[in-house]
Amino acid sequence: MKKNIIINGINSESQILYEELLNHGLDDVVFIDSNKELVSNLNYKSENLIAYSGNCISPEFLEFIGINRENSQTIFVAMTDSDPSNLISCEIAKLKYELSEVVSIVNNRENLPLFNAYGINELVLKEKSITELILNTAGVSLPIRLMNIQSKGTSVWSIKIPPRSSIIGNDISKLKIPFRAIILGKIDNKGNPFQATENIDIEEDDTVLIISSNRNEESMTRFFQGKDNG
Amino acid sequence: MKALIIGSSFNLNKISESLIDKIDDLVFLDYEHSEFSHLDSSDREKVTFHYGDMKEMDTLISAGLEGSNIVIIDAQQDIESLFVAQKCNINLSSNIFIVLNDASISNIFEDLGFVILDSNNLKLDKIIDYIEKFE
Repeated sequence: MKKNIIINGINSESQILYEELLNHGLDDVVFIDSNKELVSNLNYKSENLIAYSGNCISPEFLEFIGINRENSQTIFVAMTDSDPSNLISCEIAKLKYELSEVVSIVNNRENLPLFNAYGINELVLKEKSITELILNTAGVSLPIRLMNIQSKGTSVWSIKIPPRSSIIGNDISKLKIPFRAIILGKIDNKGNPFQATENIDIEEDDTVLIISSNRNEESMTRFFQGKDNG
Repeated sequence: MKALIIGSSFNLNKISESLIDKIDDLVFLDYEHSEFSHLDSSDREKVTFHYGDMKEMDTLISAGLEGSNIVIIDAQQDIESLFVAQKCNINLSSNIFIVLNDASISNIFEDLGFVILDSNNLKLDKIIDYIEKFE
């Protein structure tokens, strides 16, 4: 089935997403935003009309831009800087139009339980992602959630091994993790990927890829920092 | 009975005016100082004003969300009213009334347990019924 994608919010991140979608052959994409100037600027720079100005919770507007298009699977992505706009537009997409593919950015950590409580589960916590990236760059090892496994409370994680981690030198295939997790493998500091079944040691600056429950985030941090693995 | 009124719209003025005799404590919350000139001096003894970001849980709690029996919301935009209502609902089992400009989305949020009032055709019978039953 064809897919059409609606992105709520015009900003640098949503425009990067747009480029990525085009690179993956997903070219039926429209932006919506209440800011007429942003809409006008984006259309000015584009070959086709791709952005529309309107109220992101108005059914009339959402239907106009194709939220209930026949013979197409609509994916709704909320990427505005406003959590109220993201949450309510996602709820309308999910509850009124029964879309199963609804993804949102959450700007404020405090609002994360609110999105979850109302069934918007495909979430990217903006504040946390930025913090994680900076801390990881600064040498502090924190897991980065790469992908949520739909509605399971489980994610694919990446974690960079810090210089003083006591798991450095351990064989990845024999690593014993004190919580339920699947180690997929590692990527070394030159970008070479290795499967978890290979007998290869974990080294400083490796990135380990893991599938585990979201509730194990803190345990993962402690383990790979080297405090829980002795 | 304690009511938390979030926003300071004309409709909320009308609602609070109608309810003031039936309620023991009336708490108003808005971003900044607002005038409620319709309340006479005797009514004002029942009234408390709070100011702050209504989208923040700390603000809602300091305004007395947890002790409120009824919450009525009319922020400047429907998006904001709906968001604040859902935030209030996380910590509270009391009835939440939302004044909306766009009635076409009412049924979605009524299904989530909120009572929706149409700002273009404001009728207070749902609120008054709730208060009378509570008494």
